[in-house]
Amino acid sequence: MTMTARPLALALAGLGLLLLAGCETGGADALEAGQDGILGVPLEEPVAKPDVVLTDHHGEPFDLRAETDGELTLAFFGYASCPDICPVHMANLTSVFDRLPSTVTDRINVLFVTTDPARDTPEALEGFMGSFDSDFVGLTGDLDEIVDLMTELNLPRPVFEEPDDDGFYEVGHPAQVLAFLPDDDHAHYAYPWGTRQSDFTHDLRALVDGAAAARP
Amino acid sequence: MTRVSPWLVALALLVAAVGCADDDAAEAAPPEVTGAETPEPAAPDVAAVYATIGDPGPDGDTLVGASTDVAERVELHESVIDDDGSARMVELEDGIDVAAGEGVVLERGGLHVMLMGLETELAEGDRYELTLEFERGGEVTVDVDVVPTVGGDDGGGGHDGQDEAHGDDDG
Repeated sequence: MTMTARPLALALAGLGLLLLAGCETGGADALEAGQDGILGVPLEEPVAKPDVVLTDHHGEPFDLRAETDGELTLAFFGYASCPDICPVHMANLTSVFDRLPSTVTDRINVLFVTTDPARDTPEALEGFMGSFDSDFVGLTGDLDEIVDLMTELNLPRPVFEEPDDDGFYEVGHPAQVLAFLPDDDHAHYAYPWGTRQSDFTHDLRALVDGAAAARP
Repeated sequence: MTRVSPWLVALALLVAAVGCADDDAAEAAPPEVTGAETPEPAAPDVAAVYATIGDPGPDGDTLVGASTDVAERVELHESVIDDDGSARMVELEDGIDVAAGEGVVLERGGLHVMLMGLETELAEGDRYELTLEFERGGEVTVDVDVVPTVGGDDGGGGHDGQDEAHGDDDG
C-alpha cells in the first residue's frame, strides 16, 4: 500500500504544479539561466544566419550576412499594423538599449522583419520604426523570400486573416526574438514573449562579445 | 359604473413612475474603470487600450463593446500565443468576462480594446474619451491617456520594471 501511495502522491503534486503553471497568463515565466549563465532559451539546433538581401526602412538593400557579420544580432518578425505584441516587444528593446552604454549597443543589431510586406513598404516601416531606437532596422522584401527565411529559421509561417469589410486584416507572427551570436553568426537563443527588460539587458551585455567570452 | 377620479389616475401614474425609477436603481452600476491608457501608436491605423476594470459586484458582468470618436471601429481582442510560438489576435465576440468579486485587467500581450481606423492622430499626452458597454452595468465613459510608446510596462505581463532601472551600467 505504502509502495504505491508515494508515487501517486508525487504524481498528484506534479499535476497540481502543472495546473498552477497553466494559470499563468500574460507572458512567459521568468527566464532561468542555463549552465552558460544565459537567460535566453537555447535553441535545440543553432541555425545559420540566412543568406538573403532584404530592403531596409530607408529603401536601401540590406544584405543580412554582410550587414551583421560577427555582431550580436536580434531578429523579431512582426508587422506594423499590429497594436499589441509587436510594438511592446520593440518598446521593451528600446528601453533595454536606453539602459546599456553605447559601447555595448553600438555592437548589437536589432532587426524588425515584416511578416506583412504587402502593407509594410519601406515608407510604412519608416513610420513604425520612428517610435523606437533609431539604430533599429525595419526590413521588408518579397513575401516568398520572407516566408523562406522564417522556414529556414524554424519559425512558424505568417498566418493571414481574411480581410474585413474595410480591407483590414491581422497577421499571426512568431512571438519570440531570436539572437544570433557574434561567434558563429548562428541563432542560438530565443527570447519568448514576456521576456523582461532586465533579462534582455543581462544577456545582451553578456553576449555582445560572444558566447565563448560569456562563459562563467 | 363609477367615475375614476383624475386624482386617482395621477396617483397611479406617479406610483408607476416611482416604480420604474426603483427598477432603474436596482440595475447594476458599471464597474469602476481605472488606469485606461493607450501607448502612442507606432502604426498610423491601429491602437490598443489597456485598463483595469474593477469588481462588478456579486453577479459579475461582461464587457460587450466599446466606442470612441477617435476610431472608426472598436473591437475587443485577446493576444494569444499558439503552441508553435505564433502570436495572433482573437476577436472576442462574446465579450470579456468581468469576474464577480475580482474584475479583469486589460494588459499588454493579453486582453485589450483595439481601435481600428484611427481618425485622430494620438500623441503622447493626449486624452480621449472611450465608452465601454457592460451587459449588466450599462455604459460608462472613461478618459484614456495616451502614454509613451516606450517605457512604463515591462515584458508584457511581467512588472519588474523600474526597480531594475537604477544604474547597473557599470560596463
